Amino acid sequence: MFKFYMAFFAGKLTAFACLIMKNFVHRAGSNLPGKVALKIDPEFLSKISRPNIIIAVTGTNGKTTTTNMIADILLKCGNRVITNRLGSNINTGIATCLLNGSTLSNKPKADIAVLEVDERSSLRIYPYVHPNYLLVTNLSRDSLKRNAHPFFNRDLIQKSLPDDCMLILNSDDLIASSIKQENNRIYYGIDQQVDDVNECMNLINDLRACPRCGAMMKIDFCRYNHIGRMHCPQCGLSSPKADVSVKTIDYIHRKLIFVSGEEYPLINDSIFNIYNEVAAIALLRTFGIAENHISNALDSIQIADSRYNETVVKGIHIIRQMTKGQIATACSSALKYISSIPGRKEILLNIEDPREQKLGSENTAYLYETDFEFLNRPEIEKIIISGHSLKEDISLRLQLAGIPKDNIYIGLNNPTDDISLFDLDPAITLIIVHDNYQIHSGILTEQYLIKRINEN
Amino acid sequence: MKIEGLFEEAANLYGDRFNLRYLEESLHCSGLNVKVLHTSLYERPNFLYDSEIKLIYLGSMTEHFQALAAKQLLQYKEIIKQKINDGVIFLLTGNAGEIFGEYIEDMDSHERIECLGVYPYHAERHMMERYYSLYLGNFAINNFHNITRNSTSEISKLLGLGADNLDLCSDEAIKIVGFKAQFSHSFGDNSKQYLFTTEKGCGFHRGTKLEGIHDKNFYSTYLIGPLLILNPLFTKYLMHSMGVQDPILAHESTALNAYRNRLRNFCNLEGHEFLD
Repeated sequence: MFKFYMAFFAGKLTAFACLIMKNFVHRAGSNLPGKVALKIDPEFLSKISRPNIIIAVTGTNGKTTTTNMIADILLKCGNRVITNRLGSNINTGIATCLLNGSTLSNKPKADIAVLEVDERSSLRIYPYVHPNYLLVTNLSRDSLKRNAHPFFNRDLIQKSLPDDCMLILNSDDLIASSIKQENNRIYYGIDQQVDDVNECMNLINDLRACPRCGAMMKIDFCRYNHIGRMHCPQCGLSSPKADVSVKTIDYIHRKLIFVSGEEYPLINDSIFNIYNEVAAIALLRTFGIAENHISNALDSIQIADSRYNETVVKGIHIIRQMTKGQIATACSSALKYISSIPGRKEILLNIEDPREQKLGSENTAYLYETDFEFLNRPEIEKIIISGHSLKEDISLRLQLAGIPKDNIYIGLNNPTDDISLFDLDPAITLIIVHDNYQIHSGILTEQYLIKRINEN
Repeated sequence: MKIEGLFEEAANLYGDRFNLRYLEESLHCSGLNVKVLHTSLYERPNFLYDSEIKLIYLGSMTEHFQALAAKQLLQYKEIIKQKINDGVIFLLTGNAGEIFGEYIEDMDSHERIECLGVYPYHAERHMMERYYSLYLGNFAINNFHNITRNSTSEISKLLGLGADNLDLCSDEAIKIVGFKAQFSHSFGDNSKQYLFTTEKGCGFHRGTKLEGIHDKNFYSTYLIGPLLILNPLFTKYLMHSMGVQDPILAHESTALNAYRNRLRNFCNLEGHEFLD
């Protein structure tokens, strides 16, 4: 235990130092104390105190939003909660969160921990921090460098999960919902809606073939990628029936009407965030929080969409949309959204991942899983490709998507220069799409564009 | 002309399906009427009975699907061997080629998947050790039939490279660029049947320099990117071996520019980005 207490106090000191120097260390505070503690005692996570209830949230997309929603609602309901809200979801981040949530005598300060957990880190966390509940938002293709394919992540999660962990799973995601069949579970989902389709329109669909026998799956309905309901005519595998299901998404009155008759405020229109909200509701109801408490708490919750900004300058509509470079599903959903904006459009794509470029070269494979075909529309009149090393690759991909070469412009090396290629016409919406590691560049590009319009 | 894509419903990881799409579009650009037949796992492959099929393609897939695919193709093992002998083109990318070796072994569970045994190698898989690397290699000119040494101009003529693009060719080989992202490596002697020689990165497995298998018109490599899009010269070579006299690539100038940029970048990189 000596090693543990050394690690504990070293971690506490580091956390204190990070607090004092928070203007300089920024996000390191969500990770560094835990890193120090684990370096001194690799078994730290099994020894640090923790609340009686551990709720873990994992999945490819929506972890942070769902974790924050659950934590906020539990707090509003009067519970003492700790969470890794600052977002470090690997073992060092979990260690930091538990460290910060412990008194100096290693007693938990809270009753409940709501922890966002990176799927890839499952083996380093769940054997030491046993979740009572695990919510899986979805499992889809992620970085091919780390995560290979969603079945790999599923297997990582279930390999390390305790048998007594209650699972809250997405019934509309047959990969996520197949995790650890022997555990108790609750499925959440959304009944078929009017805008669902009977065919997947994305390049990526990891369930075209049955994940059990390999036969061609039959789609009952599809929302995006492999999300929807389907069945295998050969072996009988099918999407499970949801225990907690949304019957109607009422966009006009802004409510979610469940099959059970329960109603909750609709806090965000995007289908991805609707799933996040339904997931949180399913978990909280399973946990025992009353419908009215959840509903009242949701009334005051907003999902901050830092990925999107819209402004109008001298009649010219400007949109800045963030996406995650190297992640085809994220890029595809951003492209699908911007392609659905009505009217004439010009787009500046600045989607290169600067971190990958520092490592030598960005992998191009994700370009061929991203649905650039969404941009093949007559009202998208110009696509400017900004960046350093992938411009020709992106141009080639756009041409293979059927976009005429004349509509594709290879920019200079700097997006703030490339905005000069935009046509400043109030009839044309100007859209800047940038990678999430290019936020500063994206905002700067937007500001330069606004300045150019004002000076024009 | 007919080409067949096997199991695209699942053998489509890492954008690999675009190998076949790009080939199809390039064949159209070269003036050929090409029909692509897609065969799913439990359908009887067309190549078993259709002698007009010039090329068969299989791309990267999950480990579970790899086992299903190996089991399905095992029943056609002898016909596949015959087709390879007859010179039908097989193109396999990512982990697809492992099915044509003797077996695949998961080194954690020690479960073995019996494979076609067309070539004397096997694959070893470590699911907790993902290998990721950039790749730079060479495809030798003696693969171009009837070409002698010091024939850059002959190669460039064969590949339809204009004066602007002669810099992309050398007397010895055409350069190959790509990426590797995999849980498994192959083990066996491919010294007489390798596809690429590696300059930066690794070959069949770590510590080796000979990548893939090339036997008659059988081409298998771990490279992804996709392979044919990142390597327009190799694609032209492949089209030439399909009988296309003047191969023209889809969006050729852009493809060659992208290739040139990547080649320059990979040649200049110091080496730690390439795991050997």
